[in-house]
Amino acid sequence: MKKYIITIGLFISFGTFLSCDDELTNNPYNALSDDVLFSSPEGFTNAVRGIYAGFIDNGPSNGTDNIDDYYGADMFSVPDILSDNVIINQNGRQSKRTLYDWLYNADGYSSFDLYGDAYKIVRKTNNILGHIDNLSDGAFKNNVMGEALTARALAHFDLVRNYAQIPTQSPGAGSSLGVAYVTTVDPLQKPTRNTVDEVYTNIITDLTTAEGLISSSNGSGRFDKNTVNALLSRIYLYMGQWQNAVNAANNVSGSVASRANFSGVWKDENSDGIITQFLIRIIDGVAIGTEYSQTNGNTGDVRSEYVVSFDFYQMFSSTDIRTSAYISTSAFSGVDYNHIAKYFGKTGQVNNIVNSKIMRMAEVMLNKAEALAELGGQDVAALAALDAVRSQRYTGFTTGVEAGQSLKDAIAFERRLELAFEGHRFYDLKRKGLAVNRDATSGDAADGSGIAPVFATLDAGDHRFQLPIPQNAINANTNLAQNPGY
Amino acid sequence: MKTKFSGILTLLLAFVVQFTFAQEKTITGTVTDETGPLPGVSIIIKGSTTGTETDFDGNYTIKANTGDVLVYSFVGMSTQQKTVGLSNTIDILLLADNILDEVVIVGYAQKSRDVLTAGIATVTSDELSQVSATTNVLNALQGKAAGVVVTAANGKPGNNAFVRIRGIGSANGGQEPLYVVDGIPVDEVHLNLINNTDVESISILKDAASASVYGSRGSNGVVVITTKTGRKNKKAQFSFNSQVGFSEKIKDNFDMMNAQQKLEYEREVGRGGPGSTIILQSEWDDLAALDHDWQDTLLKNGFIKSNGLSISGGSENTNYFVSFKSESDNGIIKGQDGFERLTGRVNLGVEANEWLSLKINTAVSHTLSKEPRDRNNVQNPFSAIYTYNAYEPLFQLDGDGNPSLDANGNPIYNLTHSGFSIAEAIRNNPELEERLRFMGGVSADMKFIKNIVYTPQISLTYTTLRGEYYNQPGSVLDGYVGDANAPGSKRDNGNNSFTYNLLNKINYTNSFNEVHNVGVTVFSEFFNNNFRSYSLGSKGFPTPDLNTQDNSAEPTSATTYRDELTRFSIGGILDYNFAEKYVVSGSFRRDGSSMFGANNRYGNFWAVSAAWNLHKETFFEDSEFINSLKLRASYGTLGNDRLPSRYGHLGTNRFSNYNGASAAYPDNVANPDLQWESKTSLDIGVDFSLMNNRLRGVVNYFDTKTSDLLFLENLAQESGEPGSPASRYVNLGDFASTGIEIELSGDVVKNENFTWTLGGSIAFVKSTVDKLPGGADYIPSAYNLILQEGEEVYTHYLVRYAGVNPANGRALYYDKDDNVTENYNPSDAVALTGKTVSPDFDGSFNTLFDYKGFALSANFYFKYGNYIYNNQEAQHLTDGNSIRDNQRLDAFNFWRNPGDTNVLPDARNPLNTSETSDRFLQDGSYLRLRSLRFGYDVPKEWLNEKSFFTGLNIYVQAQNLWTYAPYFKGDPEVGIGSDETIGPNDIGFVPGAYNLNSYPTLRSFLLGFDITF
Repeated sequence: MKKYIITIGLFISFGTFLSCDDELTNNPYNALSDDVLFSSPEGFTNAVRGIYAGFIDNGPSNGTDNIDDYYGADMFSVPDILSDNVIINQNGRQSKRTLYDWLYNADGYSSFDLYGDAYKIVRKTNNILGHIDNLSDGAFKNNVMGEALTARALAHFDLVRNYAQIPTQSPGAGSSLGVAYVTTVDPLQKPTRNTVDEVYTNIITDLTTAEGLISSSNGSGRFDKNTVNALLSRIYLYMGQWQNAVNAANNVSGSVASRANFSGVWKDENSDGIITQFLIRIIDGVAIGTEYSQTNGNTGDVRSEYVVSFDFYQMFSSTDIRTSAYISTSAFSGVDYNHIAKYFGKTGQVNNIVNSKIMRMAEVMLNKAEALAELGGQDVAALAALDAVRSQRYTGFTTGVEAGQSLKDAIAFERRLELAFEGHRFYDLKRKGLAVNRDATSGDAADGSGIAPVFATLDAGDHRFQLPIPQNAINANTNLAQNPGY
Repeated sequence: MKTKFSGILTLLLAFVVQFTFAQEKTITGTVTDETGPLPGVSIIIKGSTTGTETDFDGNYTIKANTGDVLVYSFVGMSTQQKTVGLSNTIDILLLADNILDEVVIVGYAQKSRDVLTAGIATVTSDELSQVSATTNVLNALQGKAAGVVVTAANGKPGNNAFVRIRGIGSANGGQEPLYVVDGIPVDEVHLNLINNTDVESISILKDAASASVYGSRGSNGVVVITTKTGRKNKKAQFSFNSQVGFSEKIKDNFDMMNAQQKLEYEREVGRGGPGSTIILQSEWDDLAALDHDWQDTLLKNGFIKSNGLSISGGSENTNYFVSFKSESDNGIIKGQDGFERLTGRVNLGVEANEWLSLKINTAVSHTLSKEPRDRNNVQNPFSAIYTYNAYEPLFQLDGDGNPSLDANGNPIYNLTHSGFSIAEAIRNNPELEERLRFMGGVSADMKFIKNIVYTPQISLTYTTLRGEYYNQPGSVLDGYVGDANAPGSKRDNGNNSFTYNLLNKINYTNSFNEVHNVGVTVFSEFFNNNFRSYSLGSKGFPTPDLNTQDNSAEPTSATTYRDELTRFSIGGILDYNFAEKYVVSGSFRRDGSSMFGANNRYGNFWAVSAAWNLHKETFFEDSEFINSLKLRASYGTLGNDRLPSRYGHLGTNRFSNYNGASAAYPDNVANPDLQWESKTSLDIGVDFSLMNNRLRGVVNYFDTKTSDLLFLENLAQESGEPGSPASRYVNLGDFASTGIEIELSGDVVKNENFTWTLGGSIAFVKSTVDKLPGGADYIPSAYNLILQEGEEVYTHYLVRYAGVNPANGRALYYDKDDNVTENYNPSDAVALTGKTVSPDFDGSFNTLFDYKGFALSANFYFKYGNYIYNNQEAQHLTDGNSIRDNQRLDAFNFWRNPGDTNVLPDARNPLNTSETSDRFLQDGSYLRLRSLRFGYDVPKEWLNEKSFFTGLNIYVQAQNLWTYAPYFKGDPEVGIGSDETIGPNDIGFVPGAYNLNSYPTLRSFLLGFDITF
């Protein structure tokens, strides 16, 4: 009896030997291989949405961390923090102070993680393009390619304008160190940096290719033909190719947000004048506005990291709709501040969550105006483009009369106001080879009292106009050269 | 697979043929101790591996030849020997004795020390009782075994410890040892299911010979925990243990500024803060008068209590051990309840018939922990106590200096300069973790043919976590991050983890010609774990009092997750000894793991070992000086498959969302070549017991090498591959560890009334990086640490601070070429040779005085030569950069005038940016009085006359009473720096690399008693 029982037991247990190999093959319950993902048009659509999710760094969608970055956060703040539009609030958390004080070095500014985030976008686009022939030829395939190429160009553009010189910045800019322009998926690649000219050439190639492929409308929240042309107008401006900038701007259809709609644009009540935005819902929790301030919903107290600098605040006139749309003056800890209100939240909210607006018609018109003014002999057209913006911002606006240098100044002035706190100012100074000159005598309070900036000037030509390549990127790829000065 | 199967069958058949030849006579008898029959006593024919165990009545039967010597051994008892004579009955009385004679659980068997070839350290239940009962069992191991470095994760009640055996043997492959409780593998995080007073013994298997039996998971050592069992034919014995006491934060060895001092500092530095702008003396005086110590304001004394009851005994065919315990430690955060634990255990032995006996162990535990946040800002109370200024009151004050009240008449919390009141958050943003853990194992010994025992064992572990986080409507945090239209948010999350482990083993023992003793074990083991988790969120709550999500206005998130791990192993162990003098042992196993791709799934691991019991040689047999002396050596290989990701070899895409539609993102970089990490280990040791066993000791030398290290390799960020930063799992490089371990204990005085015992251990261990691919440095991104060929593992990698320029007060640094510069550049970081996260040596010493039942014992722990990046100090001495946060008092000592030396950088100069450098790297050496205990054992004769008690011990004890840390500012026992920055669940976590305001180590005082009746 017992021997039978034991013998049976033995056979059952050793029977486990026979089936174990299959048991050791476990596949994840929550993931797919490239082969499966790119086996259907739906998979490509999913992968393209992954690009957009990556731009706003929605949670883990970048495969990185849970910190919101890039167009979900600091691309809207850092270029303003680095320049003269804002002043650090002594009552804030001192976030990004190292950037504000221009004291960054290769590892001292991890609060701005564009480098890694942008290349993660690039990788996503290259993976789509690498599998693109799984799709049959046609409009769908072309559109996917167009979206991927546009994203690849934009990510490289953001890299090169931060970590390298801008072509118009200095005479030698074009041949100076750019960034690596990456077009393949290869985990083991260790690329070197291309020159600035090479990078811009590649960007233009990708965008002009995309322009011929992408749909003219993909609905809100995605790239389309207007996105490509609007980007081209900006990038040609950075390259000093004025006529190309004008042409690209002319290819963008749409109109500048009306004065009536303008405040609502920043509450996501309407999308008047928006060419491209990444859509962010409240439950996504991507809070761009936290870059500038946090609002205590119970008390209404706004605690700002950065407030509008006193001299810049003076430039907003009472007839300008932007004064109220962009700025909110209220007390914190008993002191009045001019808080940046552009990203407070959707209507009724103060949780800092709004759509990520990366391209507006107003900018396209200002790109065009500037390019026309630079071309010379086109002042009338330039003024018309400028007035297309101004007429929608000021009450009782009458057509401008500027010409020549005063027209150029007016365009620059309007550009600074219109695109304030939107991540443009630093590049606009940088590409013109201008210094950053902050109001050295006024403090952070609404009346200009308080502590003035410790560092007020970043001289033209200073190496700190080019951010340092992060040290951990150099550690991981010894082929990378660091920027001069660091 | 078919061939493997038939091979094993052949092996089996070979045994069956073999054992039919043996012939002996049958000896029976009973083994007892002072209190009655003793079950589970190992009886081995000396010089052989033939043996048996006493049953639940202490009875045994063994076949032996006249003249054979029977060896009776049991954990904690002195081993006895008896020669088989004419009588067929041998009864034995065993007495409690020292550790060297015990039987040790090794791998799939119990062995007496004599026939052991391995280096094994053992901790007994007495030693565990030296620390608070509420302490996690791992913390109780600190200083208990040479070569085993135990660092508390942090001081949070109930929290784990990090156990590192013999240096750092892995990088990302999991550095923790394997834990085996009553034969069941248990994850470190679940050791909280163990009631300390249930533990009979803990064995720590350090070398390849013992650990390789656990093959796939033994490469970082194995900790074997055995719980108590009852004894057969013994009436129920009740044991009641109770403790009550309190805990407190150990006082800092530095001072923060008080209100007046901070205001003066702000005024002098002039870079912000009220002190820099106040003009009116009266305003100044008002602020200074608000002075209070935030540690007193936010912290309290913790209250600790525990009550446990156990019942053990047995009848003719069964034995049992049943226990219950309730423990609580409410921690030192005001307004928070801390940790509670309920544990229950039933250990049951049944002798079903003459050939079948069953062992059933089941344990269940429930823990509830109120969680403070462990992050690097004032949302963590242990950060807030240093960040808030002494002139900032807890509540907003009205004109008369009284707290301002809200509409409900409650005081309004002051958000301070940081914009956040942690005291308010502790009330209004409660977080808890509740865990239920069940562990059960059944094994059956089937003695189906002489000399062969077949043992199938099935064990199940099921654990659940339930977490809640309620951001109450109306709370400050909800005001900042909540939805104004739907205030309040709630998160309910949890997971469950189910493991089953199936072990089949066949054990054969026999003896030939009376001196050749042979043992063979073959086994197969199957392991499967399924892990599932969920998280649900919603927002919009009508009142703070209702927090279940059915009260919410709108769900916001829902997610579930699952992964799975499977392992399969087969193996064999061969033991041989010649008359117990010469012992050799060999083992082999083949492990498969689902962690790796099809081509690299299996790893083969083996070990050989030998021992020589010199005291059994004729030339030592009559020595009065030497009681036992053993030389042993082992060499073998061990494996590690513990990647942080269960699918680390696959290239995968996962999905999140974009605007409510699913969106793919790359999640993992494929590496089809990924394979087992393997470690070779050489161990040479000597065990001795001298002078009538008055002096006992162990000395070990070991040399290990880990190759094909499982590693998270950084990829070029330009590749854009997943990871932060881009990375993938590879087998990369070699680590090597060598060391010497010494354990000594001796009875200085030993007579009827008075015993004085001294003991101690020390281990010198060095782990170095032998090889990295291409010789390139590896710099983990999360710390300022480096792996560099030739350097020790996890050497600190920092820019060197060169003091202060006496001419202008600027901070100075060395560049890579040793030039002094004012320009800080992180690329000037260098490997600081010799300054690593690991100690040069660590150990402990203890002393025990026992006079007529009065016992005074003290345990000291020391650690020498490890370096910790002191982030706390970096936050307390910021050279004026964090002027709004409170600063350490010695921040005043900054450069003021040309020629000033021995000063900090000029805090008034914003160019001094207080950069990351070795300025804040400090030697973490310390000596700590880990426990001090004074107890009285009421003599038995008193009790028996007057009461029904059979034993009564009362005691007081203190933990962490005294610390000597000459170089480190702050608590030198650093495990987790900051859990939310990088914690034990994060990839690449290195304990002790830096400190950053995690829950501090506590000092506690306890009064307790143990009663048996």
